[in-house]
Amino acid sequence: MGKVVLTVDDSASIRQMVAFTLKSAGYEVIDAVDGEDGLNKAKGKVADLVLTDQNMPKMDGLTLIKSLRGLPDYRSKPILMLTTESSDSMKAAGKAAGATGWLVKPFDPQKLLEVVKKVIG
Amino acid sequence: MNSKQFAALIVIVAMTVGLITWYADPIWRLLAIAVFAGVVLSFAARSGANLASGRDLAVNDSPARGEVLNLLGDLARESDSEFKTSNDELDRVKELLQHAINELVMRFSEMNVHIQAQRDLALSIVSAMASTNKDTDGVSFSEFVLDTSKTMEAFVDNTVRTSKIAMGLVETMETIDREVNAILAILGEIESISKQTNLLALNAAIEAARAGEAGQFSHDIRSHMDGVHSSLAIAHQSIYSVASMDMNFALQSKLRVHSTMTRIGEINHDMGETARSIDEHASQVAVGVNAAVTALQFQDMTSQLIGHAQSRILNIDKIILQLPNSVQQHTQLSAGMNEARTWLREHAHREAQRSHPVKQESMGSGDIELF
Repeated sequence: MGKVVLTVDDSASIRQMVAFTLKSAGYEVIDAVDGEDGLNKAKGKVADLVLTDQNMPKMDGLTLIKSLRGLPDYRSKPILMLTTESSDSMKAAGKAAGATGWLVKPFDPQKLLEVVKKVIG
Repeated sequence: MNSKQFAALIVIVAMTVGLITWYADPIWRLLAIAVFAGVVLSFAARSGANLASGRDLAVNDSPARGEVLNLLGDLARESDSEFKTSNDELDRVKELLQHAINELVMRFSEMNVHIQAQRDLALSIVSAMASTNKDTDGVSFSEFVLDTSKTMEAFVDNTVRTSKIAMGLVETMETIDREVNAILAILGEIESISKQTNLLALNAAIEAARAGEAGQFSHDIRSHMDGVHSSLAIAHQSIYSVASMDMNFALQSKLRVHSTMTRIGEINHDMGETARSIDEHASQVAVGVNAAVTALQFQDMTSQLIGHAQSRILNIDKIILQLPNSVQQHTQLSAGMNEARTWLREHAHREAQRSHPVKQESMGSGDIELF
């Protein structure tokens, strides 16, 4: 069984594309439609990596990261932000919240795989 | 009184003051100048107030206010209807985009799965053809060709060797045949000598008996030897024909095996090349699918941008709706307009504080930063 990646995005097409990319490389993918859904699913099954968008209804990415870092299972798990936001201030906020890295959309599937392999193998 | 009437009043007052200052006493002159200054200052104060409100003094009256309110109300209703329609249309654009992109992504995913399966098959064919691993359960195609070639070579060699042995046997039989002929010749001579002995008439009865036995013996041997000779001749012919046929067949088979093996080797090589070509094409398709996946993310960004555009349209709608409300709340049109302008400035300030997450201007892949 491959490593588990939780992908959180309110865009169905982005969730599909992330899942397609990661599954082709042997990862198991769980998806969530917003931060709140992501937090619930993260509690249900511990993922090896969380990949989240920033701007989502109900709960945004930064809040999700802060919430996850409060859980014992996710204190040291890698969490990557995958978003259209590219400002330095947002990146700094992400870093402060506990993000492991920042990926600006659109993502290149090959580069995404390289980053995922780098952080979880 | 509007600005034109006020200006006419100033001109009249100025002319009056001019006449008084020309003809009257100094005390009247001073009084006239003071009145003129008062009128001018009043005009300046009215003008300043009008400049501050941006409106003509004349619109303060009730009929104008009513008309402005009616106009603003109509504008608000019409704009609201148009904006709501635009908003609905943009929602439909987003839904259509989402539906189309989901379908495209799904199809690309399926295509990629099939291409990868095709690639794996091609690679398995190549590896099966090239494999020399003895630990695997199956036999590779190249090993099969090699084994078949070796088996056929061994078969042909054995056949050639058998034919050679048969030809040697034929030669041996020819030698035996020659020896049998020699024996037959000796028997002929013995028979001749026996006949000459008979002529001497020694002990006719005994000799006759002996001659009869000897003659019978000689005749039997000769008869057997003739049979052997005939059998040898038949066997010789049979073995010779079979051996010759085997040799020819074996030589032809050897040539055919060599030709077949060469052809199989070529087919093997061609299949390997084809499989490698399929693999290369599959790799190209995978690169193309990756590029398509990157490009298809435009939907996410355009949907966000459409969302922003929708919120801006709603803002304009809100602004236009606010104008009649502001005017409605004041009896003076200028006061209502001033309130509307204040509200507009505050609203613009709030909007300027909003973040704009989509700044991308192309579909090139975004930056990656690991902290």
